Amino acid sequence: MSQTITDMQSCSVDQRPPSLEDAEDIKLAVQDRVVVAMSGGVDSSVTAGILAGEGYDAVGIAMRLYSTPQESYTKSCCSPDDLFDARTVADSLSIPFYVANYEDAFRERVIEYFVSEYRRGRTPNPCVACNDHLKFDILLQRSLALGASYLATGHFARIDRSGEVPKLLRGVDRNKDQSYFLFGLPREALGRILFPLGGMTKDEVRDIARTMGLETAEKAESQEICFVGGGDYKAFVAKLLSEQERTPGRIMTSSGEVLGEHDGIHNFTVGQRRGLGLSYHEPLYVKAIRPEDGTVIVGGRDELAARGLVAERCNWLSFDRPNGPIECQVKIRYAGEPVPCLLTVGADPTTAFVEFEESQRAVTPGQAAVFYQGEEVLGGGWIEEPRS
Amino acid sequence: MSQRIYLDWNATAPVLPEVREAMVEALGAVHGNASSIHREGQAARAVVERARRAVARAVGAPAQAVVLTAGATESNNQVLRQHVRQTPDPFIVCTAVEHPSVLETVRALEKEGVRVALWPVDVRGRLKEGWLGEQLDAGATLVSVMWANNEIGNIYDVAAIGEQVQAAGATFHVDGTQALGRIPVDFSSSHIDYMTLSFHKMGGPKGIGAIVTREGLKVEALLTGGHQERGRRPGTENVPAAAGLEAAARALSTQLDAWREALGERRRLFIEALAGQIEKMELRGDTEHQLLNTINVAFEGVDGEDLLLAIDLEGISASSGSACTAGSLEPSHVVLAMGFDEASARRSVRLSFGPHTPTDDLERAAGIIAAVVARLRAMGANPPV
Repeated sequence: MSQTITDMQSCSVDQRPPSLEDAEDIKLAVQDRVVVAMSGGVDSSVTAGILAGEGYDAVGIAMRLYSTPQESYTKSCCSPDDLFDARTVADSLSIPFYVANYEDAFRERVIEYFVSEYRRGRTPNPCVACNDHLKFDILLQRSLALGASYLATGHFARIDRSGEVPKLLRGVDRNKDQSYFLFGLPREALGRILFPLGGMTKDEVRDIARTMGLETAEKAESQEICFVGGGDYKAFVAKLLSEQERTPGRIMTSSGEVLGEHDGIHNFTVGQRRGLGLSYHEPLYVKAIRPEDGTVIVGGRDELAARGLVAERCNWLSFDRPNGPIECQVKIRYAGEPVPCLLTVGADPTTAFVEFEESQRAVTPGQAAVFYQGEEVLGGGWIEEPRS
Repeated sequence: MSQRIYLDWNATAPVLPEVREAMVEALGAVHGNASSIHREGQAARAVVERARRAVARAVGAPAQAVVLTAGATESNNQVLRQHVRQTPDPFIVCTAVEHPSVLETVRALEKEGVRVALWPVDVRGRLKEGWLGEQLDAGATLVSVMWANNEIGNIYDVAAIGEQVQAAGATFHVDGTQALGRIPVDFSSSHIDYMTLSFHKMGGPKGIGAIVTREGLKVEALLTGGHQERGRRPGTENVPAAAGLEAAARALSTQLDAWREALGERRRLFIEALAGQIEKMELRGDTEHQLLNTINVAFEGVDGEDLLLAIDLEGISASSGSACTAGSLEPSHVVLAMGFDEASARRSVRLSFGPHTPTDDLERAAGIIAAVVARLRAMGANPPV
């Protein structure tokens, strides 16, 4: 299973739902019914438009994940305004549309995780958590319960169904590729998911939106963390942490020179340079955070380099457990390209040991390490610690 | 998919053909302002006054007792808020299962300092016995009880309650909206001071309603800015809606007996068809004293929202609880008040129909609901992913 995919063009990557022949285990499934997760953004709008246009029995569902005060307007997805946008698009496509209230699950599985990671001095990735626990778990179950054969989303990623088991592939538009956020999906879920936009570029998606006359065609991208209004996630975390839950401590160099104090490790991220409030003869970066005693260790740029990492809670999409080390590529943050590495899956396959071909800067605990072989997503895990 | 099956009459009913005709006719022929002195104004005034008389006749009240408003929500607000203004030491009592237009108004008044008590219900939604007497002894000044409940269909004995309230010298308010077209509603014999109404749950127009008042009681305007309805409800009269209201009220006066018979037959048939195909089905509410058109039902192991979405996709409209601003469902406050926990309350689904719902539709609906319940139960027991 670990051979490199060399020629992507020869792969038949469906952009339409496969036939129901491979969905026999879903009793009472309605022929060609597909639930589309609609956020009110242009990507999911076009996803719905494509499926509806091809004659599928498309059903739009928007997830209500958190409440915002009535008078506030936010630019990110899933606010009440976005739900109304999604409804407008669904109406213009003449497809049924529902809002599912997942506030409780979102708070437990995403927001609490998000805050708790910062509290532990780690840097969380709430989009992965949302995909794992909300979109491709609760919403997928509900889609199947509604008699749908598939759940479609507007992610820029692809699913290759040409082989015996579906493979998760990177999106064609490298600037938008969202496969990094999808490593945690249960393998069985891949057979029930459609990513109609995976073969397109963002520009093409916008063109389709314009051609279809969708309300959301010119809508701005949401980049920030959706539930953090205004993008100030440190203020958001600080608000949710009680005095006892904050871990203040010292800021010191790796040689033990104390440079200052801080009022909580939740304010720091590995690799961070700005906002340290230190004056020093060279630019300083956060190198590590020790939640035990609240120490934030800083150092020069060179000190950020790591030769490898350990990842925990891994999920493998392409194999159960490989026989030996695998040459592949790893992506340690969403922004940035995968870099060559040697991946060794532990005796317990939820642990992975990674050696980079070339040292990498700012390996950040809490972020995802996602493994690729060319286009294919092998799987991934959560960064526990860098290895020097 | 064939024709859709509409089982959400308690939200609103399909408009009666005679109502539609009357409204379309009025939209074309009567464009005057009912307050104008000229002939067009007189024609509009005539429509409004005919509606008032028809409503009065349909509910057993004199015509001058009827104030037309923009609906039951407004009527409820007006009655409750004027009571607080007119009463030195107001103490409002209402059932815990009132419509939000009463319950939330009462809560808002409570925040303003008004004394409030909610009449508890038992697991079948029946009002707790003996409780009202204590409140009246404690000085309750207004008692608000809906004639029939919108979610579980319970019919409350307003005449008996009214007698008790009247004897204690308190004001008695009844929201009669869900009762219209389903059970006889006689204002004059029920010891009611204020009855609030809208007719759209039985096929009348939306956006118009009424307050029916006992003789000698004052109705104070909620809004300012006009002398319409003898100063009791300012705002230009909605003449086409009044035309529709007249038609609905007339239909009610002449057809209630036939409707009740039709509802009874449909109820028996529908419950039989559901129970015959679905195991572990629980009928909620006071099934001995329930509107014939309302079935509140929970299917073991099946979330109500899942069921409602799934049957909507198969062509059946029904509901549960109330939708939030964004459109997702909250568990019914009525079922919660009956003592069910949140998960159990979320299983409640309301199926409400009308005398004109085809019996074939109900049989077909039972089959579809049974199939969807079976699917959801199978998935719940054994998730496919």
